[in-house]
Amino acid sequence: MNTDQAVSTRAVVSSLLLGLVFATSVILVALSVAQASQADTFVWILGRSSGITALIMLWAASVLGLLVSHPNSHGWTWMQFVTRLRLHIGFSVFAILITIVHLVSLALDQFVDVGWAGALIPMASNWERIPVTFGVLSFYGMLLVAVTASLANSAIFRRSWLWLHRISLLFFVMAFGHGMLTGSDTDALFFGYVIAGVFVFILAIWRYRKPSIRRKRKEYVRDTKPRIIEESR
Amino acid sequence: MTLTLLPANEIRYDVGNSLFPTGSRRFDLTEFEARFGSSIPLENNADLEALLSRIEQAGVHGRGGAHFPSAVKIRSAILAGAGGTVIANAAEGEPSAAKDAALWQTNPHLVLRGLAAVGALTQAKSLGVWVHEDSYSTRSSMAGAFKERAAAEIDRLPLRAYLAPHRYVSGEASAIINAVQGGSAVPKFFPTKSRAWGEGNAPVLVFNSETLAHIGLLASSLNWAPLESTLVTLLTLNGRYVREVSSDTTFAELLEPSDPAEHVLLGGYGGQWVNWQDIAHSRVHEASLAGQGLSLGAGIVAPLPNSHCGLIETSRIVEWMASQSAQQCGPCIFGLQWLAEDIQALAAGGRKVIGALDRLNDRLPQLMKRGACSHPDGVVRMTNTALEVFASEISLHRKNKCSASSTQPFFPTESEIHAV
Amino acid sequence: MNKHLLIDPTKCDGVGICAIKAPDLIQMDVWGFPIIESAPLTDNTKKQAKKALRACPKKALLIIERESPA
Repeated sequence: MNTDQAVSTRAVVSSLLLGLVFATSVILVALSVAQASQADTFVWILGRSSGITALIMLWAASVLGLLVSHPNSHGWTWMQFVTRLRLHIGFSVFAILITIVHLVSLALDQFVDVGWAGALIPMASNWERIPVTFGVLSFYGMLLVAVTASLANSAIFRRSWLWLHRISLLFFVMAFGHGMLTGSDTDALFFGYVIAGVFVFILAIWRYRKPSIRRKRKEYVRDTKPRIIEESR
Repeated sequence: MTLTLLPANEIRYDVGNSLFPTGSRRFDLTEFEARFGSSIPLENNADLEALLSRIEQAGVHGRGGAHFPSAVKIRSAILAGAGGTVIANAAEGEPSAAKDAALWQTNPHLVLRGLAAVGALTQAKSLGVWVHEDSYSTRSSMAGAFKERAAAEIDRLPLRAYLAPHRYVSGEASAIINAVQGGSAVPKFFPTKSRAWGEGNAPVLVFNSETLAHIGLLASSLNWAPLESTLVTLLTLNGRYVREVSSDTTFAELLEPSDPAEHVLLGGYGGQWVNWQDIAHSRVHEASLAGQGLSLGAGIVAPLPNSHCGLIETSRIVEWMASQSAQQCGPCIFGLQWLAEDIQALAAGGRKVIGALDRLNDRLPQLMKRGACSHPDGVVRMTNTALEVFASEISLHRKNKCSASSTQPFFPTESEIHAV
Repeated sequence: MNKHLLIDPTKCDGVGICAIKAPDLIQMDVWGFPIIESAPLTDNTKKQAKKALRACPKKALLIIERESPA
């Protein structure tokens, strides 16, 4: 194996894929904005399109995360493990960044009554109070998961980061609920939501069905203590 | 030389030399002392230094596979400090190995004398014997010897038996150290060799049983000349023979002419496949084999009967070795599982052979030196040599042919040495 | 004496973050477990080694000082 070549190929592939993701999301936003073309609904359109984009990013991050953490993940060679991990991290970061765009645009928007308070504090929105709260909580959840994961080596989060990562599926569900309940386009996208949601659900079941390496390790270690017999003195 | 059959046991002891003076029966303490004398005095520093230099001069080295000079190991343990534990390793993980069992079942006092001597040299606080819990023959012989030593009040240090679960890697040195220091019998990662002997912790020193028998000879009062011999487990269709082989014996002399073989597995399941022609006139002697890039490993010599296919046997061995991973290290868990599948593909033959060979060339080097213990390294080494030695067999399999006439497995994948 | 980056393979779960933090030092094998450069650390790779060490959630990496060929 020519390692130098392997490194550069890998770097190119992952950056290309990430670039593609980024470009798609920008185009999605731009297209919707261009379609709207009316100045007074610009912020509203931006809010909606960034919301949808953020959901797609989050969905991709969850799918990649499950593909990275599956107990057999290391045995799969169809895509480099590190490439999957890079994509998972990339999608997650983009999901959070685009969610910030979504949050700011809806806080500024005059079309519905959310405001800064509604966008940042649970149960503070006058418009669609419960669904908006789902979104807010899901955003904080995502932030928490990302921050703890990047500090996973620290004494505080060494144990908790992985648990928060597992719980993050709950934030995914909340975000999906938020999208389905508030989006005025839910009727059109209904089957998309259902298929995407069911897909992640099935993937999650598949991922948690088998014991992880760590569990196997513990099981093996548990019954390998020697018995000690003092036979003479 | 006489050959004795032990009833209900697969091992045959080839008797006539000094490590097994009695044949298949256990030498009790009285018989042992009549033949080997009592232990030389190990009271003061001069006694100890004298013994250590005898060990050094005799060139005693590890017989568990690593062939590390014992005097060097003992000296670094002395530097690491007193108060450690010295362990005699009587656990042979590999189903084809039997030499340590043979030694323990016939002459346990010799091993224990070596163990006590190393204990004295390193100022250990305790001694131990590491044995598989289901090695019943070895255990009963050992228990008898323990009792006799206790009755004669020979040991000043506490002597313990550590009963380990029967797994391939539970006899690995770092697994033993791990367990004796209070952990589990799974291999442990040590960043440096000396740390394995207990930096900070109480040192744990693990010796192969045969190594200790040689040290035991040097510590005996009847003046035994240092033995230039090796215990060899010979695997044949008729069972396993354990032989003591003097260093001027050639492989052609070791093997019976009734067992013609083209290929020999040297050193066991983590060893090397060699062409019979390349070793027929080599001596069964670690140092001279090292010149050929070969090693006896833990002293296993397995001439493959011509009726058997080396590729199929290799595939069976790899599959079994993969199942024996301690599930600690990723490269071992995933790498050996993959390796077993691709070697299986070679053995199965047909169109998949080429793809499997490509993957093997690409991935085998990635598996070297990646685990906490050398379990995967051994499998990789054995597989590499199999790919070379059985190149023509692989081409046959590609055409869906096979040179073997027998479908019976040759290499054991379960240990059967503890009958009785 | 030189500094080396080592891995305790019994602790490594193959999380993968080290290969991202230290691309010049750590290659992934096909199963996504790290293969670590055996040469001693240089000033450049030392930084990467420390980054990887700090990032590993399993604390499986360590930097030790030893004679180079070991």
